[in-house]
Amino acid sequence: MSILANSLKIMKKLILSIALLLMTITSMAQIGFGYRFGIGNYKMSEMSSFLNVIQSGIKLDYPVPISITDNFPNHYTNYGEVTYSVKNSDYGINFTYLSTGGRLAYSDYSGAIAYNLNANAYRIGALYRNYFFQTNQGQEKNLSLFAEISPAITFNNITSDGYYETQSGRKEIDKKHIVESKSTGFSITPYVGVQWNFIKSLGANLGVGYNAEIPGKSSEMRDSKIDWTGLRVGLGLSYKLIN
Amino acid sequence: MRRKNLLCIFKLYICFNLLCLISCKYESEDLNFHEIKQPDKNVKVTMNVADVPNGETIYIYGATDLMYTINAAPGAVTKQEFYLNNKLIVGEKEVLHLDPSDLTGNDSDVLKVKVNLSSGNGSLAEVLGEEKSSFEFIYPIKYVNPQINLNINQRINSSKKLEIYWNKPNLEGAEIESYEIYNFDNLDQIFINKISDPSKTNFVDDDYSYGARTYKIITKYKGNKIAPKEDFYSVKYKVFTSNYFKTRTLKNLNLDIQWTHPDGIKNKYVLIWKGNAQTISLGENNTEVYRPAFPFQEEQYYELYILPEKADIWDYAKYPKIINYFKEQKYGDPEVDNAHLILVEGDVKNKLILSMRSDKNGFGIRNFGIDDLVMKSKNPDLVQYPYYISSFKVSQATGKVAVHLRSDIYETKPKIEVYSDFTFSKKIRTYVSDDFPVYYLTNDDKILVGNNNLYDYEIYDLNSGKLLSEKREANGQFFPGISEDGRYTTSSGSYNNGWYKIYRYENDQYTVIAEKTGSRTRNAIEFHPLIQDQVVLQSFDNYFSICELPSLKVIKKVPGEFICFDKFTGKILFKDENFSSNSLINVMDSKYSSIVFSLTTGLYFHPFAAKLLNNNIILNNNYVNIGQ
Repeated sequence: MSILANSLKIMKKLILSIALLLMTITSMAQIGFGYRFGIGNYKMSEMSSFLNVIQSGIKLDYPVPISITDNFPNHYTNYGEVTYSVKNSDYGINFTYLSTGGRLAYSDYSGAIAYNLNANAYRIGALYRNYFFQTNQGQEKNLSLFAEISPAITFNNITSDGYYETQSGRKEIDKKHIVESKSTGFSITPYVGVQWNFIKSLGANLGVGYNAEIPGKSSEMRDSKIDWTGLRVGLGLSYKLIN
Repeated sequence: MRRKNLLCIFKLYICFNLLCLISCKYESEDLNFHEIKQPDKNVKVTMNVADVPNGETIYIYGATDLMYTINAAPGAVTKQEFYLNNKLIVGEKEVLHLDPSDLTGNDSDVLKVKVNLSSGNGSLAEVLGEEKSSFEFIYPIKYVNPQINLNINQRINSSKKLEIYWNKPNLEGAEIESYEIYNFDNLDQIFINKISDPSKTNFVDDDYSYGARTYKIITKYKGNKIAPKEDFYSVKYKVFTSNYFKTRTLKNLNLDIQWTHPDGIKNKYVLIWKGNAQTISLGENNTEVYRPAFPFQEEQYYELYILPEKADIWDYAKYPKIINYFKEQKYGDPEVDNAHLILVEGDVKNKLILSMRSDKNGFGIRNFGIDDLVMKSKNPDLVQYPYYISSFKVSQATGKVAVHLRSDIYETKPKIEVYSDFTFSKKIRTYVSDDFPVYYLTNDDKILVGNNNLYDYEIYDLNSGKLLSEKREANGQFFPGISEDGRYTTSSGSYNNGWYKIYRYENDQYTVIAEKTGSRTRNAIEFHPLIQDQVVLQSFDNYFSICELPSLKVIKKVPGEFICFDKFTGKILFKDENFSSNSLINVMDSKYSSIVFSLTTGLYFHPFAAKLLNNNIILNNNYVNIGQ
């Protein structure tokens, strides 16, 4: 929990610094904000193997047919950006929150036992976007195609929790099965999409991209790689401050 | 204003991002539910420790491995613990080892079994040990020492067979299954019987007849708690010594061998006498065996096989046997050299039989009871060197004893001494004699003394010493004789075809009352010791006549050769008329009516050595009683 708190503090400082920088330049150019909600798939085969190891260990202590119910599936992504627009290009920074997990569980009439291996990541990167086709250029409503590329750094945060619960109450699973790990990876995401501006300052976009990751790994997890590589699909809103 | 709007939008944007960020964290609630049948609440556990019901006492009789099983339905045994007197002990593979040394030895020893049971359905609660039930079983436990002896004993039952019996071992908690009985020795054991009725504690050995035998009795208990126990018992038996045998001479000289089983067991017998087997039926204890002649010169032996009732008589050799020896009955020293030199005379007055030995002073004089011929006393110092006893005579009515003494020293003259009785306590008279005198004592205290030249004799009164008579016959040598009562004397000779003269003592002189020449008589005329006026005349013609005095009327004419009268009974011992071929000597009853006993004599039979004294035919130091 303390690691998460520290990360949030760092993020807060970074965002505030960026905001102050933007406030100093608002008088000179168009500044925009964007949010994109999407879905991504991940290449978590090593994490899956690591989950199997944990499963074996738990079975030794709790010899019930506990099995993997969640094996690092596709999950939603949250994306935010702050951009500076010059003609048909946007320059900016972005932030992506990635989350997936593995789960072991078993339950019967007498109680339940469950174990979660949570994989979360904060991706902070730079952004360049180019609108290379635009209809009704200069009009308030227009449609344009864009392509972007975003190199970034990924801060991985692996946590786990587990419990078993019977009539005698709920108890935490043995601590030896609890895993906590932090690592850092690098990635680059090309992304293409279509932008439709309702009005000149507000628009919506739909796009698809691919995140290529140089994954981070952690000794706490037998050097299992946390690899967020995969397809990204997103639906976003953007707002630009027009002078 | 525009800066404020920008900041507001930025703040809204940040909050929106954070909200979305938090809401998009991956979460799952899948519990992977499994359908499992819930356990039955009526769980039962059954415990079986050596088939002993819960709460009842377990008896052990030594270091014991107790088999146990625990059955749970439904469910699974998760823990089983054994506590002996609250101390944990370990059982292995359904076996619980108990040692008597682990017990206190009193009645407070307790074996406690704690059993924990789970549902057995593999549920999470069962795995976590939360779904379980506990059971406890308690067994008092007691050690009983199995070393209880059967205390085997024996008796002779009413059928006169050997019966072995014992005490039933009372082992607490144990039940006897059977007894197995073996005839045991160091090399082998033979199964005899198996008794499956625990209340029966005896058996009769039909195969036992006599002697040593060891039984092994194996007591087997039901179950396997107590190892079969072996007890041994050796039969106590009395040794079949010669004391249990009795030999009797039958009228025909055969021997009747009788015996008594020392332990009183009723048997069959086989007696081997001189190589011949004689079978003796069950319940009989004697048999007759052939004695060819009297006496046996050597000891005879015979074998008696003792057979049980069911034995095959032809298998007699398999059974115990006794070897016993038969020796002729002897008086005096049983093993004496030159027994033919022993002299014997009857002492009618004192009811004794006296004996002396003619060549050894150490023998002295011995006296025996007339019924059993057992020596009553002896006087070895009777005669001192240089004299030794040559012969002796006993007065029938007075018991006086006349002893003829000789010496090997030429200068020492033989003499006849007369004593008051067999004790030789008082010497009455001494008469000068020669080496082989003829002398007699009478009941009226006369003594006839004749020289060995047989030409004359003198008669003296022992009391006064007076010479009563002297006799010399014109015929030359003769055999003198005098009746027991002193009333008659005889003179006889075997030459000139036989002759005799009989005198009667009257008026202090002897007067001829009968005489005959050419009488065909020989030897001395013998007077009946008990009946007055009877004499025996021995004929050359192989018979003798019992005649009445003074008429010499023949009362009985008996074929054969007269040997002697029995001074006690009046019976006559004589040689059979066919003695030369059959070697028989006969005994005629005192009424001269029949022969009551016949005896085949052996080699070296000398009539002068034979005596008939109180129904005992005495030959040297052997005797056979014919009194029966």
